[in-house]
Amino acid sequence: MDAERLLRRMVDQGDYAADEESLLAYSYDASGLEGRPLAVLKPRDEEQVRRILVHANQYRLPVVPRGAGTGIRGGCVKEGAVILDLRHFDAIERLDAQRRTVDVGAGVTVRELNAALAKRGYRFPLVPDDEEATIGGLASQNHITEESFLVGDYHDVIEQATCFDALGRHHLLKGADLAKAIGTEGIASVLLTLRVKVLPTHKLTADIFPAKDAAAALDALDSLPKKGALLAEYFDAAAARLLKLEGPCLLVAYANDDGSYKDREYVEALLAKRKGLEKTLWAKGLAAEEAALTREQLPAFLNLCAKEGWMCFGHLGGGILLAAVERTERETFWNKTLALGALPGGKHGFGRVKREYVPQEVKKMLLELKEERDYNGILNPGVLV
Amino acid sequence: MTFRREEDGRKGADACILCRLCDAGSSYGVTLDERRSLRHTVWLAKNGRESAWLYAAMLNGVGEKACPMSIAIDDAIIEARRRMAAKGLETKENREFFEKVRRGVNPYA
Ligand code: SF4
Repeated sequence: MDAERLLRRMVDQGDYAADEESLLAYSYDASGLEGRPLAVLKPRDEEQVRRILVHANQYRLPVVPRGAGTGIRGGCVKEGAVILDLRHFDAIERLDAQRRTVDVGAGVTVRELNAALAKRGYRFPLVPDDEEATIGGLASQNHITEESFLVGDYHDVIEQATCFDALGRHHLLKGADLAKAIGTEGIASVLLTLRVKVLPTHKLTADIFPAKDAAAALDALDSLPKKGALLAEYFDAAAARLLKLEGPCLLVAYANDDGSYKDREYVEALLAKRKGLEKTLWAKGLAAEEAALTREQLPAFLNLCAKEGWMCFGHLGGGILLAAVERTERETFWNKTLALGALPGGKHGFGRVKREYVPQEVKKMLLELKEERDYNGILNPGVLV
Repeated sequence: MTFRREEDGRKGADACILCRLCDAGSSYGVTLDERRSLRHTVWLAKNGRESAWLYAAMLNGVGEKACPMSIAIDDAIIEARRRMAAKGLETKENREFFEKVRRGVNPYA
């Protein structure tokens, strides 16, 4: 029996697809990259995932784990691959009010999770710009959001997880092992369930500090009270105009009454507009390129953007800034940004689109991980390494 | 027929950034069948694909409200269906439906 026919038997009837339309529908994500897969499998339980991986290893079939396909780095697009659609891993259970954690399947979207948590007076803090993204996909990218200022990244909000490695070995991930599964974009493990931290729903107020230049923005950031600030977002003059704010500023939101803007509806609307800013740029035909910066690199990056006339905004508090550049200017942008020592991909991962930018020492570490968990190289080939 | 987007300046399928926010209220959320996702239907329209799956969308306007690119999704899909119909490529079910309407017969019967 050939590999494809065997694959069909790995999942329930109806959860295997290789028809023309399914292959088309899984041939792209939000990156614009395209690649026609071999087949799509939608396992419903862990045993099915395990069998698929064991089988794929035997036949050396590339396997691409996939959530909702909302990534913008082409992480789930691969010509000739078996797509492992994990959306059926959609359980939300065991909300622990004392520990403030909840167990979620990797295929749960942020919108679904927050709708379920809201009924119990909680919320998941790391809400991406695109709420249709799945928790598993976001953890794989270690997606940073504005609230990373308060809660950190996925290393900080995931307490433990379960996964299979490429050989079909089950792992309960904690501590250092867990760290190896986060941000590694599905190249060494397939995440199944995650125990994530949640926050109780809270007050929401804000302050807007004028910041005429890089130094003023950083001064405002440094003088923030340590407790209660959820996020600290910087907008230069052009970005502020798009949000209808008066001028370049630092927007700080608090989970308490500390802010002088106390109208929750206004603050929520402002934050929603902030979330839509990247898409507004895309609509204008611009690229929003993101750079991960250390505290020391921030002033130089802000000054570079001001000098080049690139609109700049983003998670100043979390060290991720975005610049709006013409598509033709991308290379110039990256040459100049990398010269500052910054890293690209702090927000959306590297995927296939930006893998050339993964630093050599990180690649070395990832290759060691591959050797340990996926020595046949079947999981997400072409991503990161 | 005048499409609404010509009146209010909304965009066509070309502007789709494939974010899938329109699927928050589509049948994809229930069926998890990517072919039925509104994103895929818009992708078909955007890429000029003639596919029976263009008829999967219910055109209830919910997705349009969520679209960050202000795409007139329903119009874009209707346009694509009309292109198919003009070439005689609409689905058999669709052809039969309108045949019944023309004959004054209950199309759902
Ligand atoms: S919400 Fe709009 S831009 Fe996003 S996938 Fe749907 S149609 Fe495309």
